[in-house]
Amino acid sequence: MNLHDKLGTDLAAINRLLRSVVETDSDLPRPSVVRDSVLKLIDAGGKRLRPLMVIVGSRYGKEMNDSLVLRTAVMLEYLHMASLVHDDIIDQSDMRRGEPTLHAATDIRTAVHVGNYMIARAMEWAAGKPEHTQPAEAPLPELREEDAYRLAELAAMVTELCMGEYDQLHNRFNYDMTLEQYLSKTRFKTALFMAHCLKAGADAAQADPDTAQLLFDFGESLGMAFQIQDDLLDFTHTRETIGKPAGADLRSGNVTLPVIFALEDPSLAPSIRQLDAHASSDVFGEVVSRIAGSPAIPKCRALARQYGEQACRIMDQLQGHPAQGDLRILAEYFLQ
Amino acid sequence: MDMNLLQDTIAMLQQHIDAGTEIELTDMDGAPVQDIANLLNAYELAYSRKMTVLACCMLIHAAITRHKELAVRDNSNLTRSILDGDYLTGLLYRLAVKRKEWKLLSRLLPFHKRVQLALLKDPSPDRLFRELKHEIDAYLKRSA
Repeated sequence: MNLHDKLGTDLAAINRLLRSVVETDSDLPRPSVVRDSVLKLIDAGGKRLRPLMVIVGSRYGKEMNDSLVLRTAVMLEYLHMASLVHDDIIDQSDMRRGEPTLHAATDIRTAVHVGNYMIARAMEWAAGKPEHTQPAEAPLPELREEDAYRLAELAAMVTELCMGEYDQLHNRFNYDMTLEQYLSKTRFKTALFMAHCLKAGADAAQADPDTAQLLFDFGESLGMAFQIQDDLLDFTHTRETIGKPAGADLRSGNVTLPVIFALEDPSLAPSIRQLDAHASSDVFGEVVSRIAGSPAIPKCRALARQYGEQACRIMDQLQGHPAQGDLRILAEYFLQ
Repeated sequence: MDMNLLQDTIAMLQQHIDAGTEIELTDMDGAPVQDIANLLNAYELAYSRKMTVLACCMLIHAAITRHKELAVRDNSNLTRSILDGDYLTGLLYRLAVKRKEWKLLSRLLPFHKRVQLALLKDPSPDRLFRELKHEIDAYLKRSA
């Protein structure tokens, strides 16, 4: 069973709203490279994890405001999709989910502006007047100013995402990167976004502030565990299973947790430290294999487990709430 | 020319920019920004409000400029340009929220969106900065 089915959410309705953001933009010619590109990104699919987190967060609220929850969910998914468009350029990734990435299909300048368009349009749509937001089936009511501020504050999260990327940029092939630096980067790059999604849903549905904060903390721990697991995949899976060569992060200079732990091994450290942008693919491949077979991997798993357990302890503090089952489904999904 | 407004606004913005970004607002004394500063001085507004409006315009100007300078063959510089533009855009939202300028932001959002569409057709942003001045003028007239 899919995650959205388990959570009882209508993924098709979310996808229709995502499309309507672009389709109702009167400033956008049709056809145009921007319109076609955004619709293609939406149609490429995805699990819509961020909207689902917003919706689960909203179920902890006292007063369900479907309109605001959906605006928030859609706006955050656009923010996420736009950040992926820019990340793919930065990471020089030409493929995503088996399809050419936007900059590969068009060019870098186009992809940068499409990403920018997506953020500005999503915010305009989410905070707009009903006539500017009309999805065919259900026009959204006008937004209160305090809710508009809340949405703008969420859009400001771009600065936090950037801080994670700046950290990564400043630490390319930096083998002296500390565990604390890695955790800080991971928090900015991944964990805070997940935390904000849950809290934004809770806030949109008038959850009490303590509950909203617990959901934020839960999302942050879950996000840390999720990113560490993702960093592990880069070493433990092959090109066939993750769609990129094993060790792709390290090859691009991105020093992740398995590398940091592997550097503690005196027999491995010199081989890792010799790697730079000019090292051959074969040399990278050999070092990546050695890291994959080293004690660094179970050590990473243990740290991911610690964050997972931390998330579960926070979840336990929300025990007794009717939405608890949904939160548990999310936790199981991310921590599997 | 009121250089104080320009300099005070740049100093205020620089305080909001995380040192880890290494962004320096060095290109903020050109004609487009000065034109908007002059426009603001023609209105009876509190000095702090003038600074906020000018700061939002500076952030849009700086973000557009960074995203226009894309060194496609140098990944480090390309990354920096993309991140700088994204960060400055995010800061626009943050500043507008902090200074309670939703109406200004809601005016700038469609403009910022249209800029992206326009830049795909014509990479020269000069015309767009003139439009930004008109947007601010219309906003100030309406809120006066």
